[in-house]
Amino acid sequence: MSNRDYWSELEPLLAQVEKPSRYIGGEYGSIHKDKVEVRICLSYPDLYELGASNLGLAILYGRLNELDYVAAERVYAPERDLEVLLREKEIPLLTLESRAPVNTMDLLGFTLQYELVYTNVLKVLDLSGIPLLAADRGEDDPIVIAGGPSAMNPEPVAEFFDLVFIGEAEDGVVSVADLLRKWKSDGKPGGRAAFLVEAAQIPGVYVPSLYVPKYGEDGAYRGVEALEGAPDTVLRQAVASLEGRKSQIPWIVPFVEAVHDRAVVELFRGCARGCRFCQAGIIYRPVRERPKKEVLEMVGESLAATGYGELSLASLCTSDYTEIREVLEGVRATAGNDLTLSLPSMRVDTFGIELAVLASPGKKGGLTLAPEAGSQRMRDIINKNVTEEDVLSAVQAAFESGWDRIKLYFMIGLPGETEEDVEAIVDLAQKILAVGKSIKGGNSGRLKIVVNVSTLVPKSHTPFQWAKQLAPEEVLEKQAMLKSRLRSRQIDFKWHEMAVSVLEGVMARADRRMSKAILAAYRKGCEFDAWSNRLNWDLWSESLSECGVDIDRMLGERDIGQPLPWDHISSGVTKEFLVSEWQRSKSGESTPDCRFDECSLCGVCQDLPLETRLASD
Amino acid sequence: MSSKYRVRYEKAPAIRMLAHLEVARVLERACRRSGLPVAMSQGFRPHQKITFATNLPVGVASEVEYADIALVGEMSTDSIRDRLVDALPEGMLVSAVAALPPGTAALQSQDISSTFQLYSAPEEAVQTLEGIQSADVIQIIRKKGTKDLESPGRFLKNIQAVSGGNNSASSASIQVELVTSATGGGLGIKDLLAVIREMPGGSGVWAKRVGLSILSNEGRKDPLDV
Repeated sequence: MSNRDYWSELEPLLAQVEKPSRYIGGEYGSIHKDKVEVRICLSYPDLYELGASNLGLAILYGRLNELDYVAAERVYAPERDLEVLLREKEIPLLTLESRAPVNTMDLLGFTLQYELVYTNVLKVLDLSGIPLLAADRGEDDPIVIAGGPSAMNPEPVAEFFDLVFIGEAEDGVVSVADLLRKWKSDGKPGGRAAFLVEAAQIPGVYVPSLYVPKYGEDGAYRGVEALEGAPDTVLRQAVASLEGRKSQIPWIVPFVEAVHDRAVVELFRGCARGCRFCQAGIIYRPVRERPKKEVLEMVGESLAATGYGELSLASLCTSDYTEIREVLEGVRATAGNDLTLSLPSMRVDTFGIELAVLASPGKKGGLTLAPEAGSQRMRDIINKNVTEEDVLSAVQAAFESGWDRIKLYFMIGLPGETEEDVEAIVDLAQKILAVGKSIKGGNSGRLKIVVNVSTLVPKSHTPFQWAKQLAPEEVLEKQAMLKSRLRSRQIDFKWHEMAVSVLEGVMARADRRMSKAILAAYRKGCEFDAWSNRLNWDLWSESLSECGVDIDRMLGERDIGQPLPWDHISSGVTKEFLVSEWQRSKSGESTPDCRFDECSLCGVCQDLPLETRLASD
Repeated sequence: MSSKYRVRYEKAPAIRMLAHLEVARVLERACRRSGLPVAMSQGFRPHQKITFATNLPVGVASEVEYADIALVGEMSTDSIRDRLVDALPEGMLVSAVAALPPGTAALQSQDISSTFQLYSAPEEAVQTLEGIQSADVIQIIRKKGTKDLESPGRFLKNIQAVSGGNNSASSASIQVELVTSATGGGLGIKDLLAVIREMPGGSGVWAKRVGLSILSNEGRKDPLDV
């Protein structure tokens, strides 16, 4: 190992890069430990200001640092300017806390929030001097683990990771850390290979090297074979209850302005609305609400601990929290009116607007609503359970309450979509503008409707996992139609770049052969693919074709009977349920919210030791 | 009823890479964490009434930065200092607090003299700086392009080589005095560092502000002497 003091070499160079405070650590709330038995580095493989706002990683950082024998540290993906300097001076990537080379850690954990970070994972490994392929790693390299929503289909990145954690990891990471501690203190018996077999026994831990994928002569994926010592299926882990879990406090307060520069209190996990495109709606089931008393305690504690003047009450659908009104009143009573309160993901109805008014009694910035589809037929297909009347009465209430800028989220490429369904987005936007004009009268000049249209990317573990994704030219056609029809001074049309959705879609349902293409793309210089201005589609399509990845096939519809690359990863929701939802979507049948209606028998509460927990119970 | 206090704080070398806005946010959040009753502005987005009297470029440290804070009601200066010290991250230490009598002029509206120490500067940098001082006109490089500055000696005063600087990262240490006028313009520490960075062996140069005083007809005055 080198005796160079890398930090002393690096620190003076930071004056030459943009936003150098991304790289210096020492933030208020960060945790520094000296003598520990297990050193873990957590990484969000994108720029610091994105990663610093991630709640999941913050929870794990807090949880691991509660253990006296563990030091959990952090590293993010450096911007290109620093990368050039690191390569030129031969300085490896350092952790923010101890400023030790990342490759001296025992465990390196990545959160995969979306597929488009995969090349950045390789960038972090590469700059750390860690072999990119798990098979090439030696006894002294860190064990590299992944988690997060995209890990639910771990196959496209299976060759890069020694371990993948499936589900909520706040208890599982402790088991992994315990095992590492024991294995190290025993003198690493059996080496790395033995450790991996032991780790495979921890519930939720998937060890890709213990599963061999099979392919047919026609190149079709034919499932995996689990080697000895590996379970046939890896079951998603989830905490039974949020009660008594406040582990993300203390919270790190970044020096750099983070994308979500505010305190966050998680209201609940899971969502039972059952939108058929939504992966989060499946992989965080069931709904588990934090008791109201603890929510309010955490609000007070997190504001006092961070000094933020803004707070977000986070969840998949914040207005669904059963005692949301009481929470909002409680927050105002504790924190006063100077606090800026943000409620992400509000439902589209007058109740949602009522809450938005409660959240920001004085100021009215922008309001965001997600009808997801323009026509009722499409909203039934995706099980949105929102009518046009709900949408129009919600915007009416919003305009009456003082908002004049409304942002709407829609998707194109939903299964069974016709031209009329896409045109219905235009019609709905115009109806909303008309409602605004009738309410604002002479003051309607300030009205602005922002129509934000993304493209459906079918995700693993959802009822739409079999669906066809729009081909590149179809995306462009539909976007062009919307562009030409949404020409109004008061309607802004924004769309997701075609290449971003296509690449995300190609990776989302890929099998293990995709690892080669990701590696090839990284070698050609692809990075920061989630940034539409940085995604290099030419290099990507070269890499895909060189590695034999057929884009049309990857975006195409799947047969219900064909093996899927993530079949050995179980979310707890049964395939029968997903098939039935896929079929019901085709006939436009809705499935009710199981919190208040009948159980939809998705399998989670039947097969996992979990049940819905509401704050009002 | 609000009362104003002037706070002197350091930006230690460990956090010298912070930009001015980042330093400002750290102090604002520390004020909230400290529970100090900071007065709030009115309007669409109410904010704490804190005025940052001095600012530094990225990469420059300081022992003597100043901010004026308005509190609702009055407090002892010791207790303000203690509360802020507890709430600030490592590298930002509040060293003194003074109560400002009503009508005290803002620091930005006065002429200021700053003393900077330069670390890891090549020995020849002294001559280079003296050259700038005695030049009739120099070119300054800014983001928007270059501009000519006449009589830079108006802004760049005492230049001294300091032997045996106490910072281990220093190979040579130079001390300079820079004067900034309330009307703006002139020469900044950033400009001097940019010139030295271009010199052989100058790429690692960095600076720390070690003294700051108000210039007036009666002479120099400490910003806390109010």
